[in-house]
Amino acid sequence: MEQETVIKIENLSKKFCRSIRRSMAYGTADITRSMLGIPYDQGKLRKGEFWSLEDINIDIKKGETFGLVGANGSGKSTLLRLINGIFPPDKGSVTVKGRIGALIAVGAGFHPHMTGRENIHLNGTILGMTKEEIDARMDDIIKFAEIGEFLDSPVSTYSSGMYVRLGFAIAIHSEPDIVLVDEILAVGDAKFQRKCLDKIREMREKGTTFILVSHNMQNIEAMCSRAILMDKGKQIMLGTPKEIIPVYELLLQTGTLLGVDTGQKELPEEENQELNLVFSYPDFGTDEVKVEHMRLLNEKGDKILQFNSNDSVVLELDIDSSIEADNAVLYSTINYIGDRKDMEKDLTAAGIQTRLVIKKGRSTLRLDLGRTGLTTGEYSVGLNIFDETYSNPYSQGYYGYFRVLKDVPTMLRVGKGTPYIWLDAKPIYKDEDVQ
Amino acid sequence: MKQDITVYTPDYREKLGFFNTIALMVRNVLNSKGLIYQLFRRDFLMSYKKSFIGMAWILISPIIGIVSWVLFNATGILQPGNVGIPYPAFVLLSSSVWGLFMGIYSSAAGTLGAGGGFIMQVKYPHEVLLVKQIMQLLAGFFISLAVNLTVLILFGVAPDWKIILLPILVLPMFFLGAAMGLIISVVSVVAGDISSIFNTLLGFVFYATPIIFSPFDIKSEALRVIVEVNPLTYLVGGVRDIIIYGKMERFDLFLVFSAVSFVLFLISLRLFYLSENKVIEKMI
Repeated sequence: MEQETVIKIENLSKKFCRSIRRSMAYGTADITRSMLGIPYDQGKLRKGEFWSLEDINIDIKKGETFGLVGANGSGKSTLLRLINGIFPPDKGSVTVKGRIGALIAVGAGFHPHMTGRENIHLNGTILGMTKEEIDARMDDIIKFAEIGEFLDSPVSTYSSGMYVRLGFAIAIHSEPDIVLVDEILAVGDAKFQRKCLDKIREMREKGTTFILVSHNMQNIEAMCSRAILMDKGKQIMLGTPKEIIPVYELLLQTGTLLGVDTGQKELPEEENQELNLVFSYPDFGTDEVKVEHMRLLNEKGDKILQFNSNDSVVLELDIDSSIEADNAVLYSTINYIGDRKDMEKDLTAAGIQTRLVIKKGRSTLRLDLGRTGLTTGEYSVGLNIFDETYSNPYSQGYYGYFRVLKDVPTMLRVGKGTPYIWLDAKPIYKDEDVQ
Repeated sequence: MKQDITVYTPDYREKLGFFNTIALMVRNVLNSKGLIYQLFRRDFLMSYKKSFIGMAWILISPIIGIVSWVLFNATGILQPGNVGIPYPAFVLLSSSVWGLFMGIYSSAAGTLGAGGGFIMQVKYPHEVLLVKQIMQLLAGFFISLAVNLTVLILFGVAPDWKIILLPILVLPMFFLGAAMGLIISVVSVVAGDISSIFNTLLGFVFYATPIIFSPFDIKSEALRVIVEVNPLTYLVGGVRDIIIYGKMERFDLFLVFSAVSFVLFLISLRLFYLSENKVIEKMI
């Protein structure tokens, strides 16, 4: 059954001004106009203004958990405020069906000298609960927030975790129809985060709609049915988290969407013919070794992004290490990409696992893949550099993409056979190679 | 299932008519009694929590004010003219009523500022902030009024029984002060200068209103004219006269300016509603 739309955003735009002085002058002009009833076209930019949201179109259905994904400053919080009605739009419209409860900031209006209990009343009222509702839900709130004997102490004596737990507990118990969550799950320990996510799931089953802003892609992927990727106020992509996250990661790395795979089968039209980071797990690993560039070279030493099955290729990486490690492990995979939308279901076509000495500073590593013998198709390179215990990768990520073309048939067995054809491949440093 | 549908467009506030705006704001305030109480509690009661003598400050401030005026009077700096009752008692009452007017103005001017902290985070009707601000002011005012009346009786001046009309008599003052304050509250977010200019002007108005002098013995012709056309002479001075003398010199003008103030107040509500959501985003 088609679910009803609870939030309809149509051609929504919002402008801001970069200079404070000018912004105040425009503000003065705007309120004078609106007070005197002088008509004015809000849909045009004045000098120094920019669109902090431009032409956003989204339909959010009842019971859906919808993600807003984008780098800092991409307009996510502004969009939440427009949905909530705190900021008026400059163009377009927002139609909301039902009561919105915002978690734009937990503990809104908390007074540090008031006790937890008093602040529950204060904050609960701000969020639109009546005194009776607050009293009825008091026990649930206290239990959820796990503040225990601190309940009757001023919240200024709370740890930041307790503060957030209490704020979240109140907000989530105000039982709105639509909840806007702005990056608040990032705080609190893992146990509490899980509890919050469980609560969100429980409420979702009852038909509550969620809009989730998060920089944590695991949360977005775990919670959201759909998400929007925003960049500089624009709606870049609307789709499932699986479709959006790789694009977002690339956007973060490169700061641009040039050559991004957005689900099409074409190879990126890359000027410099390099493999770019397309996916990585945030907050996994130490990032002490940074892969600055990755490229495939043909026998002539030219950079390539596609080659024939029987061609010999070299994988070259420029790394920048802040550490030295004698006993690191390089674990690398060549992954066949099916429809390229689902990283986890990539087939590992081949792998390399070998010891590696890491030098401090910048260096270039060469891995001679020889004649690959890879099957026709598109691939990404998964690269992990672990410490000797395999516990914390110094570096991790997927780089892509390259294409292997069909070669002339040959009776000769080329390459070393898949999978794990390069178990014995040894990475060498380029300067060593030269000597 | 009942579900409210809200549509936000660039001009959704303009589309609401004048009287609908007033009705909406009244409805919002009536529906938000709990919120007003909670905010009042937070800002009024909690403001004294960090001081040793706490609430005693509410009493101390008016007493210090009285003492300074008495001292001025003793040194003979001020030539107030005959006011009919001991001069310090006159000044005390007068400045207390003027203080109420200024308080109403500055509380209203702080309407948007009072939402600081969560005005950008939570959607709620901001007119409740005005009510909270005024409540906070009145709580302080009635306490200091009690102190002042006690002092007054010590000076041998018994207030007229008409003082029980005070809640009605201060309404016009409230309308005028709140009307100015509400507009300044919005304007000061984007143009801090305007509110500074306005506050300075009100400092002059203080001297153009018969607060610390008698309206009947004005030597300067120019000042006399100014005092006569100044609505506050009637709205503030008149209230003071009722308390002290039990009558108002120009009740007719008091009524006229009251009516004007009421209309201005309604207009200011509409203007506040139209403009405030355009400045919220600049409150960072």
